[in-house]
Amino acid sequence: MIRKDVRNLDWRVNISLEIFIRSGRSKPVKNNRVIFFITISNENIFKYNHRKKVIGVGLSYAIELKCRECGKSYPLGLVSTCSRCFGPLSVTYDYNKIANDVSRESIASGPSTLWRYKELLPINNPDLIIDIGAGFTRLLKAENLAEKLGLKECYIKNDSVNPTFSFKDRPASVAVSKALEFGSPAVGCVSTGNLSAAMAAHASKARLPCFAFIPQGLEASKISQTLAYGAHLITVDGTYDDVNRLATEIAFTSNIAFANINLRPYYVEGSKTLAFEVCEQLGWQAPDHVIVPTASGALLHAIWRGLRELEEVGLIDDWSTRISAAQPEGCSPIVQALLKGSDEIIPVEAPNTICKSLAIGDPADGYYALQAIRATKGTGRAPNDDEILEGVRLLAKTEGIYTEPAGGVAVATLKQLIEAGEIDYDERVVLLITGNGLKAQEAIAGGLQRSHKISPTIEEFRKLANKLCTPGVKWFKGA
Amino acid sequence: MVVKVNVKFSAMIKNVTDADAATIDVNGETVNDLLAALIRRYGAQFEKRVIDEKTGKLRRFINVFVNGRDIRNLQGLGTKLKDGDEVRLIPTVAGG
Repeated sequence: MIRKDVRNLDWRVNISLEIFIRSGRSKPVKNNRVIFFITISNENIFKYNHRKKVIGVGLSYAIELKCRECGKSYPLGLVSTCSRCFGPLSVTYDYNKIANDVSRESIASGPSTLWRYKELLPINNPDLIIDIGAGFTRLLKAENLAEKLGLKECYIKNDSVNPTFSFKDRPASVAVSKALEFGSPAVGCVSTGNLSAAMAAHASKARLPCFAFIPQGLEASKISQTLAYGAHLITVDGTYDDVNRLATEIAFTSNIAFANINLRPYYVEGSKTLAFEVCEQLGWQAPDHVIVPTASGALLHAIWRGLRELEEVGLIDDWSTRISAAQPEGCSPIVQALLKGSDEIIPVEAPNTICKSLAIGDPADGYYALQAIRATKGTGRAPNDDEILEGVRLLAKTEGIYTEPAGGVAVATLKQLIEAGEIDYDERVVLLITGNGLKAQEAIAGGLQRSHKISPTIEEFRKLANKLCTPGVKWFKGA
Repeated sequence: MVVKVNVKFSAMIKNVTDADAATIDVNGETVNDLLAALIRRYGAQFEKRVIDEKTGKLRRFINVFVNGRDIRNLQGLGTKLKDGDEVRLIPTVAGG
């Protein structure tokens, strides 16, 4: 064993190093700037991770964790909450070093996944990154939708085509990679269905068991998808918030690394890559406005953080992007507080919406989401279920993108904001489409027209064609 | 007026209270009175952890549940307590 100060090491050196804090023979190391190294082969890392508690430290551009409330600093460990005030911890980086080492060109030569921004992600050991293709999804110019809604320029960030068909692959990729670094024997999450699938998929690639805790009443396809990856799926008789409280207790009394509990400071970092990509895909320019489907507020806050970080490291110049929240009426605690001008988030005790993926009654990042919206002069709306489904259909019919209700919330919110005059015609708007329609068939199917049933004869089709005729368009001979 | 309530502490507060649960006699009838009783019982360390020194109010991330309901959906710190109520103190910055 060698004792060494990690601050002098460059993490990009291609060596396999891991760091003990607790082993059978050594005492826990309180100051993790002084660490023990051993060299192990990649092949043995999985076995090793299951045997040892490991702590990742300082080999990346990440410096430390800092409490968002009181500013107290912590080493980069498996901790998410300030011991002094219970505030959430966030990763801080050496932005000067990133600015020196990272350029638009170096990013462009990286992988076509979120890991093209690895210097701005809190990972120490590149060998442990679990990359199954999350991120760097298409930013599509939505001319039809823009025309329909009366906008000059609108873009769809289509995150419904990630590996497990939602944006949650981004934070899950970071969380599972980080769990490997920490040597966690298992990963877990609390989920409304998208995260459970994303965690389960990344965990299976990492050969880690995954415990996914979900509330009752989720969509069947999200459940079967999670199970297909081999996760232990635990359905709890209660709301998302009940599940969240239970899992928080489990996280603090077990060795499971929960993505959105004890891994949360690292996990949320994955989501900010949406902001990075949007800017890169717009030629390193920030948009004028981003509409964010919002549940816990973590994604919305991450978008703000991502934009600020890009400016901090010199990848974009001045930006003035407005960030707005889209929540379903049946669970809209952040938008309600925003529209009331209040800082106090009143939890929704019994969320009631077809939009299951946004049904979080007590949003952990609600306060910070409000901060982000107000600081950027954003706004928000809470469309009802009918308007949400209309949004799903509108996006499908105009742009050929089939989204789950969360995407419908974003479309409906955009429509309402334009109608209310809160978005100008010439604002360049980006809609975050965070999940795929195939994951929420039950909710969407009801509002669609039924298929036409005919017998297999040309006469039957001709009869039908006469009924379906489009004025001025001759599309079937004889119809 | 004294009410006797059962308080359950989350794992994150347990290191101050040294117990998962306690039965507390509250001089008064509100959650605010209960907090005062808990501070008396568990001392400055507990107070520092749950009360924001700047505002004198409960810290933003401490959630209090009375018989399973968040006090933000009741009358906040003024929520009335009665004998036998179960109160949970849960710091939550999780999920999403």
